[in-house]
Amino acid sequence: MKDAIVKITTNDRVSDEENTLSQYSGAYPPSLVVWPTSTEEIAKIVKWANENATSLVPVSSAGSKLRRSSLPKVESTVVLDMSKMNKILRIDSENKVAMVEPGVTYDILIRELKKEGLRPLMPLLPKASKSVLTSCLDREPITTPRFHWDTPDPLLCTETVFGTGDIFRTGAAAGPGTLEEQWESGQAQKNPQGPSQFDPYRLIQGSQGTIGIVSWISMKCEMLPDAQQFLLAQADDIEAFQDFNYSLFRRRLADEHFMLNSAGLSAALGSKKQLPPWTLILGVSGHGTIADEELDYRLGDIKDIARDTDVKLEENLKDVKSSEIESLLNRASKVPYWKVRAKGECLEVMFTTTLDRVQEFYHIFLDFAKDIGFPVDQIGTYVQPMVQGTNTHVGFDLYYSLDDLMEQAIELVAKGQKKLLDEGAYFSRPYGLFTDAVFEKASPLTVDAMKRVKAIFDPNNILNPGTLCFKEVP
Amino acid sequence: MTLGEFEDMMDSCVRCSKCKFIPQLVIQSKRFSSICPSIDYYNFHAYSGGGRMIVASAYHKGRVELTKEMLDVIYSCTNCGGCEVSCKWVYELEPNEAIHELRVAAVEAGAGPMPKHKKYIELVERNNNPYGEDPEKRPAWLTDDITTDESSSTLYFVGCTASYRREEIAVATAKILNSAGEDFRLMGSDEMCCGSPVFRVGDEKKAIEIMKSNIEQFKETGIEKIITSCSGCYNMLKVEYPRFVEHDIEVIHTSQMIEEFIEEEKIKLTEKVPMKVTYHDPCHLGRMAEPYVPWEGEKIEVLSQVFIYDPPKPVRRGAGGVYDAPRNVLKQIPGVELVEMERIREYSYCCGAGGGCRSAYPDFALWASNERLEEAESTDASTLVSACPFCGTNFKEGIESRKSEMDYFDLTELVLRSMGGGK
Amino acid sequence: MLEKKVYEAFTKIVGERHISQDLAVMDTYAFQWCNEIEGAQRGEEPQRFGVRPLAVVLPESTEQVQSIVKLCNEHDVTFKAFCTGMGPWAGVSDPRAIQIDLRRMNRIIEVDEKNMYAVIEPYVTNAELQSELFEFGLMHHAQGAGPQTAPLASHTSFVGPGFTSPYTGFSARNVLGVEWVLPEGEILRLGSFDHSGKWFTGDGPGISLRGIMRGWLGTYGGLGVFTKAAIRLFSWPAPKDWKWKTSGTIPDYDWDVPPYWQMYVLNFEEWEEYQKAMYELSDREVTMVATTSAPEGLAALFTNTKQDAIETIFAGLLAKTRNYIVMLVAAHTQREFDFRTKLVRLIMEKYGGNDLIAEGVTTPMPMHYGETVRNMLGGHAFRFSNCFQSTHGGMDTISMAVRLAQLNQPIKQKYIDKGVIGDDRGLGIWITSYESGHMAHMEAPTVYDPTDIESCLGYAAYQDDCNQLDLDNALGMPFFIVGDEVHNFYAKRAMNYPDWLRKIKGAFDPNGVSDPSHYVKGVEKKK
Repeated sequence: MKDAIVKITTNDRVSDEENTLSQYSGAYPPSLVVWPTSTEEIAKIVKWANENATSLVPVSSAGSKLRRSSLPKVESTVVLDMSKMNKILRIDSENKVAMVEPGVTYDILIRELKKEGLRPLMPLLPKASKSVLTSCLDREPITTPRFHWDTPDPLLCTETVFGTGDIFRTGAAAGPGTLEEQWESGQAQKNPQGPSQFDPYRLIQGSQGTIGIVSWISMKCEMLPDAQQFLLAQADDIEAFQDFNYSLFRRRLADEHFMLNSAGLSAALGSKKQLPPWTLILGVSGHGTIADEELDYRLGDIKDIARDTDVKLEENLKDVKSSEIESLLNRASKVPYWKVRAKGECLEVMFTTTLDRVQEFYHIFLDFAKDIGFPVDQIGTYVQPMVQGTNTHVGFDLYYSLDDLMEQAIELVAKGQKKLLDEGAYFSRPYGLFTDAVFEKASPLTVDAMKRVKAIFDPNNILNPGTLCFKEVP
Repeated sequence: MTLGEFEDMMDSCVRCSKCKFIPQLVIQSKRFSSICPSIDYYNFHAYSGGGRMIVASAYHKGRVELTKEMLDVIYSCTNCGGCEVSCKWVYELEPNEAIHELRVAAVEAGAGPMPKHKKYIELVERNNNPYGEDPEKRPAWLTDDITTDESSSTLYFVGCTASYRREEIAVATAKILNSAGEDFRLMGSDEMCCGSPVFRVGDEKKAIEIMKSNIEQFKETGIEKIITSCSGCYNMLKVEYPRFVEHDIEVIHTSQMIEEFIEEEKIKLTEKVPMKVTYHDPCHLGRMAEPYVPWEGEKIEVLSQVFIYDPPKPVRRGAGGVYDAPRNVLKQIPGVELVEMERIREYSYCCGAGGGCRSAYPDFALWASNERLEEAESTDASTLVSACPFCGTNFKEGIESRKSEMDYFDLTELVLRSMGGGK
Repeated sequence: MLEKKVYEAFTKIVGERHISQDLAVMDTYAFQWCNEIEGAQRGEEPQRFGVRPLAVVLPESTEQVQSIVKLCNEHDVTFKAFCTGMGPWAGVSDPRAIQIDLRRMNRIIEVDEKNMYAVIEPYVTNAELQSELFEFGLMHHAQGAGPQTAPLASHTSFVGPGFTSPYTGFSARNVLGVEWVLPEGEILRLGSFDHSGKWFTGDGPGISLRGIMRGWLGTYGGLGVFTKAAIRLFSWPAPKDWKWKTSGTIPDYDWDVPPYWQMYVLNFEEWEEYQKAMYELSDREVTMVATTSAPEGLAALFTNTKQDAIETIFAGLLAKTRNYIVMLVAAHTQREFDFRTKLVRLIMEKYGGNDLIAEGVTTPMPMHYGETVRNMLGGHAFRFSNCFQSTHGGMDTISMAVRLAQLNQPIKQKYIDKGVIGDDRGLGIWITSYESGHMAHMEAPTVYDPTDIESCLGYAAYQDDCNQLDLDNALGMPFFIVGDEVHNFYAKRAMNYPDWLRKIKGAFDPNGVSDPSHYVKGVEKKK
């Protein structure tokens, strides 16, 4: 096996050393780790895997894996560590787009984009080692719902090696023409749709590496603000923000727009302050010509909406300053990752719903936690409106340590998720053991249709087997 | 015109479906967005204005023969002209005219019109009216308190429906004329059907004979002005007759006449008629009442593939119908509150009776009147008013069928009531 | 004719009133705008009558659609469903095919005011949906095909640019949950709808089956039937008590313009300045509309008759009009309005532009504001010859759209010189930006005479040239690169994408009964 892969790559980019393999170990340790450096290499490896009935798992982010989706679930897996493909291939400020390889992390991208007057559309405090590409492929919610037009945003075009070993560029990047020819014609791989009459980017995204291995993506960026202000509000119940939020979604006045409960905000800030039960966070900006006036108009209208909907917006709350919040945004988390900083471990529960049901689900989950004996003040909650407010990501983070509350955390995740599922929470990005319950809830036809798709793009089931509803092994 | 002359036009339909709806800009709700009762009831595209143009084209090109179902397609159209108003917002097409020509072609081919139409045409030929009533009883509605002047050059052309079915309209019209001191005469038992039911179903030959005969009679009796209380008669005499028979007789509708009487203070509306009313524009008094303006000139290619007419060719869009007169009259009746439906004026929804549908497709005609009544009811008006005995008959039947609490009155009836019953 | 027993089986599903096989009725489905162009491109004599379906059925429910589709599989009958059905892609291609006319499925199932989506059936039209959304202060993205066409068709199956695209995006990107009768008759429910009966997202769990549903272009009805779709809604920038109100008489209606609305026609001498301005205006979210056309097009936009449009052209509009952007500042508040109008002025000045409205070169009446937001302006192009069609269509950046416009001009001029297409000096284009300028597309609306064979052939040849130009110069994929033959023409320069389409088609339509004419034939077709 190793020889075959070495033939495709080079000796120094393949490892079967135990201590290396153990870093990538999931249900089973992989048999081999390979660090490809080109799309062609990936394609050759995939073809080889097809011929040799070997499963492949692509990994782009370094470090611990809370969701364990990119860890081998079957024996004799070859892990493709994409971290050596770490170039920012292109930044185009006029078209507000960047093209990145899998190994590019947020801090580097932010730095490079800044030089061009841009900022990425990004999640809240991603891990320092988090691959930007993976984050986009995982449909990780971004903090700026105004710029979130459709679920896949900010993901645009991709270059993907399907499970068949075919290299394919998705979206406008597919052609006609090479990338160079497209750049020459003024294109910038901005249209993620297609090519033509299918949307492979929607199949690749959310597939947790089961449809193809992506060698680069283009992604939507936005202009850097020239004037910016953050506003905060606090409430005992998230429902108190509801009218305000719904009014604000319509107007697309704010950039950053999300809510954290006290445990969540406390974890993000890394401090143990006395925090309000819920904090609403808004970032408002202006850029370019009359940026200050843009900021003023946006703030003015936001404040009018707040007044009409009984929300008190302030620059600084008693225990949280907006400067502290600002420092959390548009950057990666410091090491250690903020979710594990306090207690050492974290289990995540995440689902999609509409904002008007968040409070209901929150209480369901907290009540369950109480029953189980998991302290509610160790459940960080992040509520992130998406698709300009059409739906909402809800994330519950269970902070615990290996020697304290681990069992309760595991039980809460298992049973709490089930309860949420039964109550109508939609687990659009299922991870871990709970995945099976999610697909049981789906109609058999949905699963069957997904399997038909899988059979087209990965007919031999070599890509990350055991993931989602794709149980078949090579 | 012949069907062949419509060929370019028929080939130019883009099948966009605008003909199924009122002009898009004036749509205020989903419920009342449609303009075509026929497509609403039958649903196949063939039953729309554009669909019928395609059918006409297919027939003209010899692609199809006149089957029973095709005849249904051709004849289950009220010929209301709504499709054409919406179509002309963008296109230079005349679907309603093409439908008429298709009917003419069907008759020429011996397949049209429908049996019920043939029957009433026979009755028109035999009894001068499509109802088969005794011609001698035509003036039976006349009451003793009505004065006519057989030497007058003004004719009240009563029409078959008001004469035999909706006599109250004839009575009201005559009484209003009397009250205004306006001399008029009747043709009495010599009055002949205006030809509308014959013309509309495509029997153009017989319709033209009727037109000629009528005009001859009018000329012989020295008629200079005709008053009609029927929209169908008005449309025929005012709009269609001049296309086939020359005449210079002034034709006015009762709504216009009453408006004039009020303006000239010949009548006074003094009695309170406390009711909230909504007004239905009869197709033949509205969009179809816009006269054809003869045009002569040439077609000039001003830009490649783009032609204009020199001098500019008048476009019959339906804007020139009689819309304001009935409304102005209603507004002057003390106690009357006029509220409008969503579909009014040139984009009014047809009552469903016209084009021969009430006789050949009574279920459809009744359904259409129910559609319109639902719209009328949605205004919260207690009363539906219109100015056409044929619409009125269909609405009355609709009101009964849906057990509506709405009342129906002809404009003349309300005017008469406000005058205290007339002289 | 269908075999008697097959016809009877269809009749049993929809009832006698809702099925027909009369040839005249069938011909109203065989006849389609642009059949003459597709015919010409195939080397046939141009005409609007295409393939006649063997029957037309009018189902009233998803269950009826499902039964019809299953019956088609059973008896090897091809089907094509449509909503309002405008264009050759709506018609059938197989001699043994039926047409599923979805006209009776016309309900607005739900408007979720808070979460801003509407669930609609196939025959709800844009104007109808729009008129029902005002009370919620909402609007939807309506495709450029016009207010009388169906938003479900555009969102699930067919391209999707619109006049409000800078503000409301592109149809394909605004779809949430969907109910979809697959080609074999199974009912697939996408995303959260499958899960909990709520429509707020169509994606997941895991992969999104929207990925096979339509892509950028849509499958043009070649992969089953969409019976319900949830689509995103957007804020309608008018006060709560504002009502859609028209008055007057055709063709000169009046319309109540909401407060804080202002139209501009910003004109730039050169493409370079135009391009910069278009980027900045779109990025700054000041405009609901950012549309560019030819000066001749401007004459048609703000007039009500062909005569007026032509007179406007000859009154000197062309001399004063270069590269322009029709814009609509539609603000919610005075503050927003003041900011936006100031910024528009500054951007105009920055790039040396002028406002053709302020200078009296063109004058939109209040009703033209209404027509703009009701998506009626595209229809005005039909006024010149009762007919036009668009070529190109590539969608990516504003700069690509501009380059496409420049390269298109000499090609178009060639056909204008031949006298076969409308004379717009080769400048006849339509550009709009999307999603606050993140994307843009350019197409070239072109007037031709459908009753003149030479004109049809000429337009078809022009479209072929445009396709070749886009292929050779990497200018994106034109709209009408659909159907096996045309796909093959583009395949090599576009990663052989049709291979994947054929696999999807094969996997979901093994009997090949969902009409493939404007999609692809599947690889695993059993027939």
